[in-house]
Amino acid sequence: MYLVMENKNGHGERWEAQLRKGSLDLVILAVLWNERLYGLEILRRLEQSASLDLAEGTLYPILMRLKEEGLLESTWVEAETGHPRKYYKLTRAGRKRATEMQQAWDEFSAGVSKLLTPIKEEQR
Amino acid sequence: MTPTMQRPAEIAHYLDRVRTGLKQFDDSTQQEILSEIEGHLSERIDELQRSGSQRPIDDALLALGDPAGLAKQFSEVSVQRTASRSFLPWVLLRSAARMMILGGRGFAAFFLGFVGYATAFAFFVAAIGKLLFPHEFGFWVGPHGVAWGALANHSGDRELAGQSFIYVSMFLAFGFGCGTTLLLRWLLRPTGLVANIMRRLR
Repeated sequence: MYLVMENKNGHGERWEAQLRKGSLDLVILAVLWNERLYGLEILRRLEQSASLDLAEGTLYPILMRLKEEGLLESTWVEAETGHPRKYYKLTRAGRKRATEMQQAWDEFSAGVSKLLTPIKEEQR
Repeated sequence: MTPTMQRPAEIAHYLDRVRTGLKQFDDSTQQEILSEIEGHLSERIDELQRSGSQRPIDDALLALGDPAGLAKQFSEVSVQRTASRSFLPWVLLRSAARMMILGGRGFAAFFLGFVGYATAFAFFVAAIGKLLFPHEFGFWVGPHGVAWGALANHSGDRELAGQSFIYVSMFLAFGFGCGTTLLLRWLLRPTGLVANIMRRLR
């Protein structure tokens, strides 16, 4: 489903790519939490806020799927650039899903952090 | 929604290749997808020109990736959409067949789906067979081995199930049918780490 996820350090570690790949739905819903954005803006926000260099072609099928699932809605808006932009925003179901995912993420990351404590302590 | 400006030939060629892979979508969906991609390319080319790229069109197309690969990703969304809304075996199997070209998960789905539904069908036929030919169908044990169904030659074999053969066969047909349907829906679902985590938490 998803194409290449590059990591900033260039390690290309598989597990890290899988981790980032798996969190794409959540981060896309998160960047749309406060405002409507179009595809390129979403890519830029992911880059700036989460250091996620998402392969450009990967985003649009995901947006389509999230829209199919009723989590996003879209509107075409005329733009000064000459080509209309397709803006996405969260639906009510999208906000609910984002909240659930955020809670699941928090629980998951807290649990993993606990498990990682001995590793961190040994590094000190 | 439809752009009016003249497209450079490279972009037109790229969009044509994407369109080729979007055959399963209706015209308006195809147009919407292509229009969004074209809008993306248009803005990326502007960005690249401003940042001093010598070949902004090529760079923008390269960043968007292989057009056939892009179309495949949209196709997978379509397949998953169809599969996620259906419990019909032939719809699920057709979706799995389409997903075969997209990777190993599609191949596994199609293979398991085919085997699962074929098994369910075989048990169903056995149950009907027992109704129509009660002396030919059954659970046979004897010199010819062990068999569930009909044997060309069952002389010397004992039939152990009796009428319960019908109920057991129907139950197994139902079980394999439902199990395969659930398995296919699971294999054809959209995947994601968070989705998996949430499933486990519940």
